[in-house]
Amino acid sequence: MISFDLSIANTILTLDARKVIFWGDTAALFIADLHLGKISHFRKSGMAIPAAAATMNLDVLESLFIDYEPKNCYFLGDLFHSATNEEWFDFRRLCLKYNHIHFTLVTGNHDAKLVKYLKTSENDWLNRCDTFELYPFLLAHEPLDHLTDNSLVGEQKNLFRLCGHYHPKVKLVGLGKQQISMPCFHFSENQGILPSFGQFTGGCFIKVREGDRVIGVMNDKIYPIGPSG
Amino acid sequence: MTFNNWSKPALNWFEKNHWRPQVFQLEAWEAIYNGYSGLLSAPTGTGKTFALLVPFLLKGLSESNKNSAEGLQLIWITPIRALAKEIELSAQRAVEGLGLNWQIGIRTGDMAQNIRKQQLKNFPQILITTPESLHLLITNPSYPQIFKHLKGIVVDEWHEMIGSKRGVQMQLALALLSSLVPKSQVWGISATIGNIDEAADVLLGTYTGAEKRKWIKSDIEKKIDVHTIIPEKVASYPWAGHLGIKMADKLIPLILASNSTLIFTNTRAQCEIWYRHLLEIIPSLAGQLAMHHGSMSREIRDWVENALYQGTLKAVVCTSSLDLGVDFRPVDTIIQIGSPKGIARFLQRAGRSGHQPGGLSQIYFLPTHALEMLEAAALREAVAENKVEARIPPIRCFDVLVQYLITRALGVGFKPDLLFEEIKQTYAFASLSAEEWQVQDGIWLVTDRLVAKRHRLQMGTIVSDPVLQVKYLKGGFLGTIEEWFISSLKPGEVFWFAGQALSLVRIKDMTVQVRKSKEQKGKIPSWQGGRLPLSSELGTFLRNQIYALHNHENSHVPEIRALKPLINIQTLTSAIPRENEFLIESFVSKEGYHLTCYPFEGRLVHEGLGALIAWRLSKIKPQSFSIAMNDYGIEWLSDTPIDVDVNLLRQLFSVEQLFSHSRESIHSTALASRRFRDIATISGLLFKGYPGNHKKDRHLQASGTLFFQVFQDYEPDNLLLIQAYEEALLFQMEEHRMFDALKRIENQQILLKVCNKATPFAFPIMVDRLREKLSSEKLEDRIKKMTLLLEK
Repeated sequence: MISFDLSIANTILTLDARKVIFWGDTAALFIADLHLGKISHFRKSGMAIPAAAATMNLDVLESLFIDYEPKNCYFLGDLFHSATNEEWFDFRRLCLKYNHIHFTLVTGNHDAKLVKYLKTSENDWLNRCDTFELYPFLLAHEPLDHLTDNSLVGEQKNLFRLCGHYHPKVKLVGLGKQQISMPCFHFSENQGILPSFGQFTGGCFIKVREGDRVIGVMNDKIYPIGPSG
Repeated sequence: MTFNNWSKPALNWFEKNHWRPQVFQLEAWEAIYNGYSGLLSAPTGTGKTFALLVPFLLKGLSESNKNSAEGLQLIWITPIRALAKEIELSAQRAVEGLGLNWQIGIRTGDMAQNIRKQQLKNFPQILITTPESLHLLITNPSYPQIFKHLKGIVVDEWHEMIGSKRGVQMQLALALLSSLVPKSQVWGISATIGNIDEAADVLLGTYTGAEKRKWIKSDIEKKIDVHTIIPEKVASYPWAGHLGIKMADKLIPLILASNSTLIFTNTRAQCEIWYRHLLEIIPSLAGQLAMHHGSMSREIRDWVENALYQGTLKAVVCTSSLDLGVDFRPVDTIIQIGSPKGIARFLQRAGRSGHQPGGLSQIYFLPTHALEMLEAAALREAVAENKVEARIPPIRCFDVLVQYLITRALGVGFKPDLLFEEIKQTYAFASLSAEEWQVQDGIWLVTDRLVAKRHRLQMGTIVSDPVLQVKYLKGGFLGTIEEWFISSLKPGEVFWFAGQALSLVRIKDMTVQVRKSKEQKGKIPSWQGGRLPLSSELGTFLRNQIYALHNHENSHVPEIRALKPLINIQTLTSAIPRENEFLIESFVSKEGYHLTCYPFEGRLVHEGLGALIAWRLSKIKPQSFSIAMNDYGIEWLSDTPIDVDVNLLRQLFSVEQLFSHSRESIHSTALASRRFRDIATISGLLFKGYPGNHKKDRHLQASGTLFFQVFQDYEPDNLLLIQAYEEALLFQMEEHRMFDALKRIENQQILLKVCNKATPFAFPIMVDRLREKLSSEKLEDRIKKMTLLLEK
């Protein structure tokens, strides 16, 4: 199985094994934590990671543009890893090639340094915001630790939050001391956290509460995991 | 000048002090007089320092009129900083005794930056340093000047380095020094090791100037008395575990009757536990009992070492941190808690007592679980036969090479073709091929200052887990603790560290702030890694003890007599294998289906065999295994029955196609990935951050597993990745030992016992936490059988 339809907030989201979400109703693609340039950043600092790994991200991205033909594409933060770099320019070329798609960046902690650069006219093609209301969803970078967070104002409280930041992973256990862990989508009552899209990014284990939905991703396949198996 | 005339000043000096040069000392002097390089094997405390130091001083005397020489003459390498001071004292005595006007300098990581800078301006004639600090010196552009007048390099305690990547680092430095100053002589000092013949070849490579070589051996032997502390009731002694604290009472008379005692434990956690417990049961020791382990601060350790030296301590609970180092003359008793896992290590520790000439070394072994009694009997026999382990020198360590290339590119830069020829002179890289050495022509020089800074911070071949500093709120540095342990504590919680009950206040900037606590209970930290596997030599002695149980050859041995009740349970519930039998047990528990076997080859070999057999089983039908091992045996655990019979087991344990199967099984486990973590750190792929400033460079940090994955996917023929697999095979699985073990098993009969529950042999394996995984089932099928852990 390479994709899985999840009904949430009275609509249906398609969770793709390429670690993105497609929302058919509005033809929107959600992508979290791309970390563009992480690999180049390491290489520039004298750490010889295979350069080919950098282009992989973009190849997958293009395949998504072709398969889903989205009208809108939302990056849920941490688009950049560190500074602008070769990977960024390759990425921009790719996005401009699909110029019928509207691109929006919900900025994350890693993007902070680049806000100034993104304001320049050459980057008009990319909208920028801290959070984005897309009824019934609220797009953000960081998840809420407490669902009664006071920083939320008015309407936002009633929206379902889609976000990234955590690079969630899940651990499964079984008889005979069996264990598996993999990146995952983590949906709880009011929010859904996407796995990190970028290659070469780590992750941290999620804490699952009763009623949560967890959908694992491994070896280009998607695995909905029930609360008990 | 004849040798007799040349050595006259030294002989006179010896005579004045009423010393008589020993035969091996004279041999070494003459060999160095004649321009030889070589290896000296002699136990500690027998005058090896003067054997190699004096002749280089004599060279200085004969070649200079002013009694002073220009520039650095002799480099003395010591693997442990703590020894530098002692060597300095000896050197000082010899320099004065011979009337030379030479300076002696120490250069180690402990020293302040300004002293190191001063040294560069006016270099001493004798430099005492570590391999790491020597490499750091090579990153200084003035190094060709510094080494210009060098006469000799002495590598002390070579046996401590030969089997590790530090040894490779040493070889690279020796190749450089020999090519800079072809006339310089290279000497090593080594204790007895199983492959002492090889030790000289590894040290001396094929460097120019080291063609004339000699091996000098002292015939001094130390007498050792081995005693085992035997529990009165073995039946109530734990089958597994690692405490043995039940028998602590038995140590009281030993400690009280001795002048000074060293109590060796195998881990830092045990060290903390025993220190606390001994204080509790012998309150009169307060103030005279100390502890010593590698995570305690240098200052506290120095204080303990000094007090030991002065004879003001009655006992010290320690770890391998006191295996080496200065001689503590007041120490007359050694206690070893838990199996030392190797004969050489046991002898080394025993030798820490009885330093008086002709003195007897006393060592008491306290088993920490019942089966260790067998190890005690095996150890005693091994000591009697004086059989010590070989230390296999690693070769083709590309991680060390990559690090070294940057080191060389930092100093004055390098030309690839010249460096290639130089490196090929080392034992480790003799087989390096031109295809592997694809470095573009030109001069390689690091120009980026940040790259240089990061490199200098990260140099070295010893990789440790991320640690936090433990400090009192008011200041005062106690030592370091691993991140994973401290993150399990909440503020206010109490833990024991360096023998103190500490209450956690907060974690701030990679520092754990604590205050003293009056509470008696607290968590004991543990540190990962560092568990040493049983050596194959000791394994052989151990197997012989087991086989001997049948013909009662060893029934008179006290350890074996004490173990009788346990042996009876094993016989009743399963069997004790004979020399021509290989025991395999199977049983079912609520955890799943278990299969166990007992090759007694040590943890590492068992890790390899465990993966190999699981891989072979998984080819027959899709199945998932969790594999555990200890030094005695292996356990395979599965959620579905493991269907085997004697015929199938024969095939599973066959030596046929071992080479290709072990390679494939490595690919199905995390063995290579784990090796890669160290490789990535040494080669500079993994950056651990600047000291005290961890957050700032998080952008350059990633985990070793991630690197492994990326290389696997995008550069499968990368030499560092290949090295990870080779290391897993050679050093982790120890392929040649796996081969020997399977060969032995092929000649044995398979004894398959279906048991009701875990036997005394199986039990200690099952409780081990470290597990390897291997599966041939479809992911979908595995996930179906699994559950998600819910937060409560």
